[in-house]
Amino acid sequence: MNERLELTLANQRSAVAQLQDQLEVFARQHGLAARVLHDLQLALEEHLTNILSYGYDDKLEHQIRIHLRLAAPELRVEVEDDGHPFNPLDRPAPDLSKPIEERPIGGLGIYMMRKALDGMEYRRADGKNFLVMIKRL
Amino acid sequence: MTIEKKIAGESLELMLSERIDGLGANELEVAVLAAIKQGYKEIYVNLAQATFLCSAGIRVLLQYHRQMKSKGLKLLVSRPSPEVASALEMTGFPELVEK
Repeated sequence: MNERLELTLANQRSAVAQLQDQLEVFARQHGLAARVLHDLQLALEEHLTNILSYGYDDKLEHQIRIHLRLAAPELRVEVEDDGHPFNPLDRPAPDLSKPIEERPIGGLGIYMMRKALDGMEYRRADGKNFLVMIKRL
Repeated sequence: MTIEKKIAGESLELMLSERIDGLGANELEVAVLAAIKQGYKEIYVNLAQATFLCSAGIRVLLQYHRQMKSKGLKLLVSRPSPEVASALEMTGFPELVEK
């Protein structure tokens, strides 16, 4: 099994929703476990939300490229964007031990990505961010 | 995502289905704000049919859970699907779920 999917989306919410729909089709076609699809969708949602929210200062349209490679025993998804340098691996983990009322509301997304995935790799090259998400099948 | 509403006296149940993604989190916030304005004392967000819950959705739930609680009112998640229950546990917010 060695399947690829390459997609380009604009930095818009509606494009992220379409990507999620396409992933569901891909998962069905390739018989991916529901858990693998769920975890991948969650991680992508968090990462793309960060890119859309904090990646750009201008109001121009930007392209985000997704390269998905399914090769047992893992699924690798690379997200390439031309936003500000942003390495999710650098972010500290939130303090989950505090009572609910005292907890800051932000900072959860990257933590959820870490929990959902089996690994992440980041590099900055040619003025772009490349984040690879690794999920075991 | 779709939202269905079920009213029982002063309590409102919002039934959400499919993905609670960034867009869904915005829609949820609009629905919760409308319910607060309408004066419901208890708001239950039923997530039995939700396939995933992103951090933006958790933020909306947490923000209005706190706001309602500080006024002696209630906003809780009811019947979370296994995926949603695990997202809430993973982030350490099981208090949001109706016991």
